[in-house]
Amino acid sequence: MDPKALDKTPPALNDASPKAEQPAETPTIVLRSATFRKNREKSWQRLDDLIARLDKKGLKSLSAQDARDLPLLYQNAVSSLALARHIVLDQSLMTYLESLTLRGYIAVYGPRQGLGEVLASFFNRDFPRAVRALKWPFLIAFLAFFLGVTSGFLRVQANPAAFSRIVPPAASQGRNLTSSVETLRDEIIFGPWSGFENSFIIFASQLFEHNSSVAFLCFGLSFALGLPTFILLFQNGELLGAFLALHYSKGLTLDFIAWLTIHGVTEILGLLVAGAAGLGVAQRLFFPGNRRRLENLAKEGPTAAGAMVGAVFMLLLAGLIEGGFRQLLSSTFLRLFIAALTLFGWAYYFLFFGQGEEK
Amino acid sequence: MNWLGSVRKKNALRLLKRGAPRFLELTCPEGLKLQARVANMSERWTAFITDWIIIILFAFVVNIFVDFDNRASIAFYSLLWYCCLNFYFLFFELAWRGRTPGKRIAGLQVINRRGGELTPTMVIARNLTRQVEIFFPLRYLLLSFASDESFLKVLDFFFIVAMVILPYVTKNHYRLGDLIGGSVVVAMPKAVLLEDLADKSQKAAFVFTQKQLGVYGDLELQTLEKALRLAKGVTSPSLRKICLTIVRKIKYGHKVNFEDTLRFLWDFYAAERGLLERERLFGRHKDSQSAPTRAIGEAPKANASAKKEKSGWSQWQAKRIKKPPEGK
Repeated sequence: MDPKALDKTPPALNDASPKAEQPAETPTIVLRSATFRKNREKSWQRLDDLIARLDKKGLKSLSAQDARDLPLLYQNAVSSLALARHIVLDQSLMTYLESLTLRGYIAVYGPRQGLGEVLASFFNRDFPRAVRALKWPFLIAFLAFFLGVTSGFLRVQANPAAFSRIVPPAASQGRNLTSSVETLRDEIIFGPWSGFENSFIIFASQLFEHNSSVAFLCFGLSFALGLPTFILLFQNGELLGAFLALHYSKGLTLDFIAWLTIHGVTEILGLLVAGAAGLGVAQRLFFPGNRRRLENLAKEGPTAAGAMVGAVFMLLLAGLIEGGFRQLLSSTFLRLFIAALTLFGWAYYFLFFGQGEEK
Repeated sequence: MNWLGSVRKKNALRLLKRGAPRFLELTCPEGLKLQARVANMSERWTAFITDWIIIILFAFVVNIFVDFDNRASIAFYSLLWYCCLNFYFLFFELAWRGRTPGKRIAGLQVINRRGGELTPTMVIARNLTRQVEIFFPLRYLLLSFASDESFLKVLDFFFIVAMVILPYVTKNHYRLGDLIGGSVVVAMPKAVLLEDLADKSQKAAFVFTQKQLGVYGDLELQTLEKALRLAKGVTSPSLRKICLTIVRKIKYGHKVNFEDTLRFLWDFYAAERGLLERERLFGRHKDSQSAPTRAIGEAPKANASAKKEKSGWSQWQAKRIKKPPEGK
């Protein structure tokens, strides 16, 4: 031991430490950072345990006391980290604190808790708001669809052979311009109910799969300038227009409209909302305004996606009505009545839900 | 041209430098800047493939119970399969706070890339886009057999390739869904609080003068810490070498026996840390032995961005090295 060195040894920094009572010959080194750690270690460990439990078992596994303490412990960790960055040179302690604080930050400010709460706030607030935010893209989507209907109707009126070009065989279910009024009326429009299993499970799920695929495409292809979305909407409109022309020529217009709109109101609205979401994304991407494109996309993309999921839900409902309930009601008047009811229902929902305290 | 502003030449070059970790800076509401390590592509693939194994296993188990003579049960099965494809990721990322089972196993987490809450709509956006990125093109490629569609199929194939490459070239490994949803996938390592090395020298046997301790800086201290932790209390040849180098450089003036190597290093570590930490309080930083002491707030000599990268790297190294010897 170098006796001269003794004088220059850093003095003990914390008198409260029990080691301070050591005899003078064996100098005690009590580091500021070590004391810092000893004083706070317990609260870090507690925070660590709480986060681990939160991650594994969810918020319900925390007692009321724990849930109250979590943000406080987190803030304690934040202040520890802020201080430690200035005074601590222990690399392992710094790594631990950085990681703990980040995990605490995610636990306190990160993803929201609970699927039920998420769903409730989504349908009560987020979905109608998202649709309202997309009113111009919605209008454009409607225009595209309407143009499609007109074009389909006029094309088939002008040249009946166009029907088979517009309508793919899978969608026509054997209907074409040569089919008789009786077939159309008795087998399709007022066709018999095929039983619970066939209608609610098989047919409804097929319809849902098909429709939601179309909706997903509407949204997902939006980054190509929204053009595919536009074309898809137009095509589906043409399909409808062609059928309209077919039934018009057989004098079944009103029956057909009733047959269609009972589920079609929900289905077409869902499709339009999906299309609007797609066009909305395209708008953000190609007309970014003052922001950078990607920032703009990240800011507005989630709104559109919210509208999209709502649209898929609407399509699920439409599938249930179409596959399940429609054939149960064999009266044109009743069908029209329900169609009108759903139309008003949706209009009310989109216009008036989630108002107030809007961001 | 700021179309796809994240794709820059620099980032494309990173393709070659695989393994260099990227860090995302988040400012928490308390005003502190936190660094999260962006998940690298191998972690992302691990999570993705694990999730797929789970989905396929689930489908396989259900398969056993499906009566394939019954149309309703087939329809139910196909609906279930469809829901698995579409809602598995969505469900878990909503219900498990931004993590699917695969992400949990890989230690990953989806967060809002601007900090703050990860909203349900962001999760939805990121997962809906998955459909168009992979599922639809793949289904089209594999299941459509019309022969006159070869041009579309080639186009479709290149689309899939582009979607797979995208996360490799974007700044923080963004998928298309991350770009639209405003999210990012980060690694969430659970660090373990290791014992304080300074505790080992509560009764110091070796004493150093301030001049001797002043030779070294932060970098050497942390390197010594790493070496001591790796040694786990055994005097390895490299530790002995470190010890002799220190004795020579600080001009200790006494011989240190082989048996005393660890004792000496522990004491030196504690004393050095004590000095450097005290100097910090007085606003004097010494980054390494070759760097001059700088005042607080003064930029280090090396250029700032290079330094930042280095500290990120060494942090990552430290995390990698510090696998806890026994589970906590």
